[in-house]
Amino acid sequence: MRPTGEDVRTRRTYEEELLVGEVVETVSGLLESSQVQRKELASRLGVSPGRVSQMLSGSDNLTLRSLAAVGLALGVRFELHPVAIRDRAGTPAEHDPPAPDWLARLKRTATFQFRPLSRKPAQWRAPVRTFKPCENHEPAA
Amino acid sequence: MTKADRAEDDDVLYGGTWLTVRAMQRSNGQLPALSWYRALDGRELGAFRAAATNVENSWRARRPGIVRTARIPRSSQGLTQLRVTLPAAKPPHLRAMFLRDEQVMWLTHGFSTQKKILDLAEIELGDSIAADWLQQRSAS
Repeated sequence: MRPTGEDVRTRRTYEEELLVGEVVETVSGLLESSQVQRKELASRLGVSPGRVSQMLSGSDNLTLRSLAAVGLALGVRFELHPVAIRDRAGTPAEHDPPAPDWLARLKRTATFQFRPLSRKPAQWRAPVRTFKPCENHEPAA
Repeated sequence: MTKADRAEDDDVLYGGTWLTVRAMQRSNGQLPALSWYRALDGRELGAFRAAATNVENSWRARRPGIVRTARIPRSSQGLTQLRVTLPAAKPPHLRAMFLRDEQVMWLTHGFSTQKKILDLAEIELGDSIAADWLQQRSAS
């Protein structure tokens, strides 16, 4: 049976509201757990407290860049884990092939480990390199 | 299982993997939350299910600072409001009231409002439904 417009609207609203809600709830939870005030978050982000309130109330769509910045300011990374929708009936993708296997492998995404650049270990010394003349060549005159 | 707990398929408004949302039944047989739920349009229904999933994730993970729910200080029955639409969404705001019983959210009723502050009349209606329902539970 072909999905009705009502079904599609319901599914689409569900996905939109769920994602926005998860972001709002998670950032709100992080602020509470880390005891960071909104004012402090605004300062860390370099934006006004009003802008932070907008972000956290769900009134404004947070861009992915803003979300990454909020995450960094609170010491977390928001990763993207697309999950195949089991029941596609009522979605525009209902007749598409099944979701690809590699989606599941994205649950473990690669990350780059940042290390301090300016500090060197106390015992650190520049490696000493020795060069031997290559035997297959005539020494330079 | 008490009379009010009797599993009637019709009173389940949301069945997640961990959380179930059900409608409280009054002693006269009415289910105000179910009537409200059945009158929701497509977008409102999607919003209701999303709000329930957000709460399910918060409760299951013990995520603090929940935005979707808020205690109602003026409620005599200890009701909590469910914000079906997020606090800063444009009106009308969709709200419902509930009592939590472990992994079940029992809704008294739902409504649409233009104001962010709950009307006392809605709180009193929720309290009366909850009181009736609690009385049935304790009687059986």
